Amino acid sequence: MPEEATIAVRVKFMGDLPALTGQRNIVVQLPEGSTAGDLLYSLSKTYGDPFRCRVFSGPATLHHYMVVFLDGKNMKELGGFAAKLGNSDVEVVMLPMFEGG
Amino acid sequence: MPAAEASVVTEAKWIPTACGMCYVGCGLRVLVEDGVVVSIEGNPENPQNRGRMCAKGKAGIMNLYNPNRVKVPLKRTNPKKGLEEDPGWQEISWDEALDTVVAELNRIRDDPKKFLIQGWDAVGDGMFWMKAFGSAFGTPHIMNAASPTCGKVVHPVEFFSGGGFHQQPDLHYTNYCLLVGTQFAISARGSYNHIALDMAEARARGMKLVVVDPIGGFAASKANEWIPILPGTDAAFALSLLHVLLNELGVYDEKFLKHKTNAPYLVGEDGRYLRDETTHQPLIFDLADGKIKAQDDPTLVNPTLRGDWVKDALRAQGKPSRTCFDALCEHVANYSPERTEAITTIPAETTRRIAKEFGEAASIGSTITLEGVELPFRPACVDWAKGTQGHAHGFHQCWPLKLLNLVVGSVNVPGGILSTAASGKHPHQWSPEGGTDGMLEDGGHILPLPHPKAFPGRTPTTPIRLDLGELFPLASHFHTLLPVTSEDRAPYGLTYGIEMLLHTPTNSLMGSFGDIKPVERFYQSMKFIAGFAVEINETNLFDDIVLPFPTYLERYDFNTGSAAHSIPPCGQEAFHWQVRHPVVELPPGMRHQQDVLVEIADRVGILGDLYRLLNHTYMLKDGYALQPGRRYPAAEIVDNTARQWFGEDHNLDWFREHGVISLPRDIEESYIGPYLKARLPIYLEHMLQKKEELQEVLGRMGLEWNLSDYNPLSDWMPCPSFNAVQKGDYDLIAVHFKFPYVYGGYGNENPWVNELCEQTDAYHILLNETVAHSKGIADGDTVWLQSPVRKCRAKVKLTQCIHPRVVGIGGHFGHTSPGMPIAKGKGVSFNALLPSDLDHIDKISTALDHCVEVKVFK
Repeated sequence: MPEEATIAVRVKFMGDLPALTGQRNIVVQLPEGSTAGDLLYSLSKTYGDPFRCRVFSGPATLHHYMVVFLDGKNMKELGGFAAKLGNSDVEVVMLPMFEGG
Repeated sequence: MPAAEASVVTEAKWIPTACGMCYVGCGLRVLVEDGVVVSIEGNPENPQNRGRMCAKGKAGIMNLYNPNRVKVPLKRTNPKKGLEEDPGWQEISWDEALDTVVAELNRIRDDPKKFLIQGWDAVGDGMFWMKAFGSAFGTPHIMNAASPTCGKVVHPVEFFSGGGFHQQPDLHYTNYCLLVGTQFAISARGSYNHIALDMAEARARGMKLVVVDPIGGFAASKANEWIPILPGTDAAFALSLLHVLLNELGVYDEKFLKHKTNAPYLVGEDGRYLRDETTHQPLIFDLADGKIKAQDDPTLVNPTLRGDWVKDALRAQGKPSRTCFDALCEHVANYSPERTEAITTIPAETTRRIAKEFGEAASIGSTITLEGVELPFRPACVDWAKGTQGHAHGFHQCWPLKLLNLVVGSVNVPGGILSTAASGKHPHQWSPEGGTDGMLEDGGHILPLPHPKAFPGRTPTTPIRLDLGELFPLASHFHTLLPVTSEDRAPYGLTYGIEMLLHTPTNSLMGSFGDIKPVERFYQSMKFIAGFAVEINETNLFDDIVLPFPTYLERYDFNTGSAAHSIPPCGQEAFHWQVRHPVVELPPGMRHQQDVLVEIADRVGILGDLYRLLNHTYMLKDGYALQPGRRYPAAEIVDNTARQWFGEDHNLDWFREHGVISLPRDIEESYIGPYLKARLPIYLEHMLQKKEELQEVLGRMGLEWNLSDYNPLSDWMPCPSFNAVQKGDYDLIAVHFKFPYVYGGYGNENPWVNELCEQTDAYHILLNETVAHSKGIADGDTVWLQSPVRKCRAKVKLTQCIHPRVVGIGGHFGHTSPGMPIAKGKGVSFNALLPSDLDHIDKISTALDHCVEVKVFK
C-alpha cells in the first residue's frame, strides 16, 4: 500500500498558549489536503481538554479571543476552518481581552 | 523629506496634537516658541472636546518641564527592595540597560509564563504595544487595566446588553437622568470635555438630574436631587425600582421586551430555557396561534410576555415553565421599597417616587424622527459606573441598574442609554452581532481585539494562570488577587512564581491592587523588574532597571486615548481620529517606547511575532504591514498606520498640519437599537451553566467557593463592610470618589494640579459634620483612619453632603516616593485600606470591594 502523503506544518503558539503547551514551536505532520480545522483538532487531541476549552467555544467555533494566522494571513480571511494547509507556518494566538479602567 | 522624518518645528507656532493627561485624549493646540512649549489650548477643530480643556490638560506643560523627570536609564545598586528603601540609583547607558533586560528575558525564555506585563498606558499606543509584546513572548500574565475595579463590570455587561465598550446617557434628548455611583459628565468619564458641555446644556433645557451616591459631591452639586445611599446597596435600590415599575405601576416596554429581548423565552423549573429538541433553540409561546416555537421560528408573531394563564397552558402541555419576564417580575417582588429602606437607607416613598418619575419620563410608545428616520424615543435613563462596580458582589450591584433601562426600552435609542463605539463606518464597518440563543454575543469594536464580554463566557478549567483567570469564566481581566495568590499557590496546584515584570509608567503598586502589604511583598518577590518611568513613583522604587519614558508632548501615538476608539461622544456626533506627534524634541538621549520595545523584541528573537500582532491590532496589510527583519522607528509606524487607515493623502504630515480627521455618523451608527439583529438579556440563563461548570472544577481542585453570584436574576448581597458595621466592629464605611482635576496618579506631581488640590482640600477625607461632632472631631483636625488592613493619619473636612455612615476619600494620593516631592506625604491612599482576598472580590468580575469598614478617631 502506498504511504500516505503528508505535510509538515510549523506551529507557533503565542499569548496564553505556551503556558499550556509548554512549547512555543512544534511541527505537526498531517495528511496532505488537511485544513486549518484538521490542525486545530489535532492540537486538541495532543493537548486535551485544557487546550480545547480555552480555544474552542463550541464545535468548529473559536473563542473570540483566538486568532490563527496561516502563512501570515488571518485564517478568517482564508476560509476559516476549511482553509487548506500546505507546508505552512501557522501561528495560534490566544490574545488578552481588550479592557479599560 | 519623507513624512515620517519631518523635523520638530522650532519657530513660534500653534501645533495640533493630542492631550495625554488622562485616558480620554482631547484635541490640543500647543504654542511652541523656540522649541519651548509656552501654552496649551483645546483644539476647536476636534469634534470630541470642541476646543475645551480641563484643568489637568492645561497643567500638562508642568509635567513636561518637571525637574524630577527621569531622562536617562537607571539601575539600582541596593539589592534590597521596599517602599522605604533607597534604590541607590546609578545612571547607565541604554546599551547596559537593554543588555540587562534582554538577558533577563532570555533567562525565562523557555518558561515565558514567569513574565508579567503591566501594560496600562491608555494615553497612547503603549497599551497595545505592551500587550502585543507580552503575547509575542508567550505569557498569559498581561495586565490590561490599571484599576482593580474600574471597568470590570461595565465593559462585560455593556458588550452583551448594549453592544459597545461603555455606556452614556443620551444627553441630547434625555429628560430624566438617574446617576448611581457615578459623576458622569460632571467630574469624570470618557469624552469628558464633550459630555460636560452636553450635561450643562441638558440641565439648561430642563432635564432632571437625580444623583444617587453616598457622597453629595460634584455630580450632586449639579443635580436637581441628591439621594444619599449606603455604599454597596445599589442592587437593593435598583431591584425596588424594578418592582415598582413592573409590579405596582405596570410600566414596561412590551413591544421592545417581546421582540428585542429574551423576556419571552420560557424557563423551566430548573431555571434553564426550554429548548427545541432538534435545534436546541430557546422556546417562546406564540400568542398568535397558541403554539410553542423556537425563538428563530419565522412564523413567530406575538411572543407572550407574562400571565398566569400562560403558565397553566404550558403546564397542560407538559412543559411547566414561565417566561423570563415573569421570572423577573416575580423575583423583584421580593424587594419592596419598604424592605429595601432598611438596607439602602433610602425612604420607601422616595424610591417609589423615583420609579414613577423614571417610568413616566420614559414615554413608552413615543417616537422621534431624526434625519427622516422614525425611532423609538425613550428620554429617561439610568447610568452607573465605578461606584457600583467596586463591591464584593459588584456584578449584581450593577446589572439591575442596566435592567431598568432595558425594561423601558431605553437602550440605544434617542434619549436612552447609549453604547459607546458600538458601531461605525470609518475607516471600515463594524457593529455588534448576535450569536448563541439569538442573543447579542459579539460587541462592536473598531479594533479587531477581543472585547470583554460576559456572555456566553468561557469554560472554567484548572488554572495555569497565577491570577486564577480560568476560575472567573465571565470576567475580562483578573489581576486583582495576583499578589495574594502568588504567595499562596498551593491550594490552586500552582508551583511557579512570576520572576520578571516589565511595566509602563503607570503606578500599579499603588493603584492596581488593594492592601499594600502583600503587594509590596509581591514586587519584592520578583527577581527582576524593568519599568518605564516619567518620574520615580512607588512602583519604580522596586525596579532593577528604569527606562526613561517621554511625556505626551514628545510622543508618537496612532492611538491617542479612548475618545477615538472606545468612548467617543455618543449620539449624532462625528467620528474622529487624531494622532499624537512630538511638539518638542525629546531630551537628548531619550528614546520612544516603541523603539525600545522593537530593539528588545529583535534581540530576544520575537520581532516578527511582535509585528504580526501589531499588524493584527492596527489592521496593517499588504504594503503597510510591518515586515520582520527591520526595526521601524515609531514615527514611520504611525505614518504607515495613518496611510493604511485613511489613505495616502492622510499621512503623519497631514495630521501634523490638520490635527484631526472628522467624519459625520449617520443614524444607523448613532442609534443602533432598532438596527441590532439580536436580542438583549433580561434573564442571564448562562449563569447557571457557568455555576455548574465551576462547581465541577472547584470540586476537583478541592476548593469550596461561594458561587451564589452565579444566578440568572440579581439579588442584593451584602458587602463585608455592611456586615462589619451591623456587627458593631466598625461604625463607618469608606468609599472612593473622583475629582475632575485628578486622574489616577498622572497629575499628582504636577504643581498646578497640586495647587488645585490644596485649595480645594482634596487631600482631606470627608466626614459627616454631625457624626464628626459626636466624636469630638472638628474641621481640619488630623485623625486616625483605620481599616482592617491599614491605619494611617488623615486630615478631615467636615460636610453635610455625605451619608452619615460614610467616609469619603478622593483622588489617588498618599505617595511616599522621594521621586515625587510635591505629592509625597499628601492625602490618603484609598486602595491601601482595602482587604484583598476572595471574600472581597466579585466572583463574577473580580472587581475588588471598594467599600471598607473603618474607624475614625483622634
